[in-house]
Amino acid sequence: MDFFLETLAGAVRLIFSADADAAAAVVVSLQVSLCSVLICAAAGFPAAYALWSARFPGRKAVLVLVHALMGTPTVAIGLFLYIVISRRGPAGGLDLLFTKKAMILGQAVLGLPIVISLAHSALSSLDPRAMETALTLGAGRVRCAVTMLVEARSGFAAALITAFGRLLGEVGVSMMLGGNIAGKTRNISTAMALETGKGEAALGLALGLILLATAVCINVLLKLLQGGGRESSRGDRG
Amino acid sequence: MAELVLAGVVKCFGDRRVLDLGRAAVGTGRVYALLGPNGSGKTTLLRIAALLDRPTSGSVSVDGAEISGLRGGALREARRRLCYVSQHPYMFAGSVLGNVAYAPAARGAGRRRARETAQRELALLGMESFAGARAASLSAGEMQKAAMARAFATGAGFLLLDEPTANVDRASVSLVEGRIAAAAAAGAACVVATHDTGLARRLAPGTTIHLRGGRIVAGSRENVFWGTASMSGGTARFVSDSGVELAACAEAPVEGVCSAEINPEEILLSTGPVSSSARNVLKGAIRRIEVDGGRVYVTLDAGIDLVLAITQESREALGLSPGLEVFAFFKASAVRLREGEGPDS
Repeated sequence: MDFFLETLAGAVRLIFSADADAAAAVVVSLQVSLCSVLICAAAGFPAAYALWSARFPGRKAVLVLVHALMGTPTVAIGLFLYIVISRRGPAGGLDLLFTKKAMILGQAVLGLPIVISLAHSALSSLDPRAMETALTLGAGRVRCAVTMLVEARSGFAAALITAFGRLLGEVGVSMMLGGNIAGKTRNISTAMALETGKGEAALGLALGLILLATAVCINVLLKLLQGGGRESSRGDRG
Repeated sequence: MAELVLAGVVKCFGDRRVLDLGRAAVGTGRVYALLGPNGSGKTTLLRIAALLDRPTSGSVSVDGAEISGLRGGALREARRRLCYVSQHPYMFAGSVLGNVAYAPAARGAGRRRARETAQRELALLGMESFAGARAASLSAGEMQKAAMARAFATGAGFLLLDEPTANVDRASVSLVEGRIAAAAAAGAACVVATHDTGLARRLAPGTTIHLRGGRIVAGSRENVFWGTASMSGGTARFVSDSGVELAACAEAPVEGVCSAEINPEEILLSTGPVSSSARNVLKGAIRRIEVDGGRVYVTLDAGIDLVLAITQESREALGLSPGLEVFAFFKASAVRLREGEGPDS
């Protein structure tokens, strides 16, 4: 019990003393995961829209594959990309291994199926009259897509926030592709793994608390957005 | 004048054939009423005409160019000539003004001009005070009017309106009707699906399309006539707008403007005067004889265009041909009166 209380007290002290190592890890985490989630949005939203609006052979198979990829273990993605970008790999010349860019790449691959999947289901749960109305009012291809994005905005936001939450907390990709280099590629989750392994449980716990606080903030944001969405859909029916 | 033609359009949902049109054509500059009971295919017809659903077979064309088989960009372009308003319209997120301005903006108008058009259209339907309101907060009737304003703001040549007055109050009905008439006067074709026979009579005298079981039955083949009714004793006396008097049975007293409907199957025909118990006897010359589905439809010019259905055998036995003078008999109970609806009734 003493160990637990001491660790907790140490963690709280560390958080409020704004430990430089901890702060650096938080910055790397936010940088990498935000960049990844933006890439996921840029690639995932159009992909989800295409999967929803276009009819082509193999569409169902792609959807099943995307759903399956949502559960891919992070270490599997990490290992696969490690082979691709390591010096002897096909993309070795890019010198990406153990950089933040590699972490961003890995997390984007990890988050993409989540974003596509959730954005697709947000579009699928749209009122079918939404698209028809846009079409009969004369909207072109781009305007239709933008309109549907706006109509399904709470679902799209939920997709991004869910993906962001998963990316922020993952260890496998960050560890294998980033290498946990202090001040460069060490983020909250890899720092926690290291510090706890070294016996520095207080710093690990401090980082864990920060991660938890971030996750809570994200979820509160998600609930607020979904609340807004529900309100408007209730009004639409009335 | 542009013409929208639905030729041989058939729509099946599974085994059920919900629409089987011979040919339907509407021209710009007029209002057409689409009457028919629930499930008669009105909405299906409008949605196919608006290129939102594809017909199982048959084609939709504008000015001779087929538009129903198009895909991609050509389909989007063709859709811009038409606009469909659902009975339960969908409003996009945002303000009422934003929704109405969406239409001209989608058709290439600049932001400022789109908003001006939207404001004007809202004002024409008495909705200007709702411009800033959230579209989702509107009542069903207000939403229907906003959707109408949005449709008129498209400036499309063919407006396909599905029960546009179903939820709106009486005062608004005349506003909506006035707007529809004005759109037609400005050169659009308005096709209005409705249950309101009063609206059909006011907006589309002579251009009413009757649907039954997915088939177009000629306006006259329905035997729907407009006139006024008065009660005397247990029976009603109906005088058509053209001055023909009919005896009718009414379950509830009917007074004033109303429609009379006579089932063509309940009318008997003879080539000479016959004494019978039928209260209604009309004399007229045969104008037209049509054969459809094994039945022979004879149209008489009896002051009203009266259609009656007979068998092929009767036709031959009586030696019927156009121009022949014949008598039509039917009981008072064959005449169904319906009170007119709308502000002028």
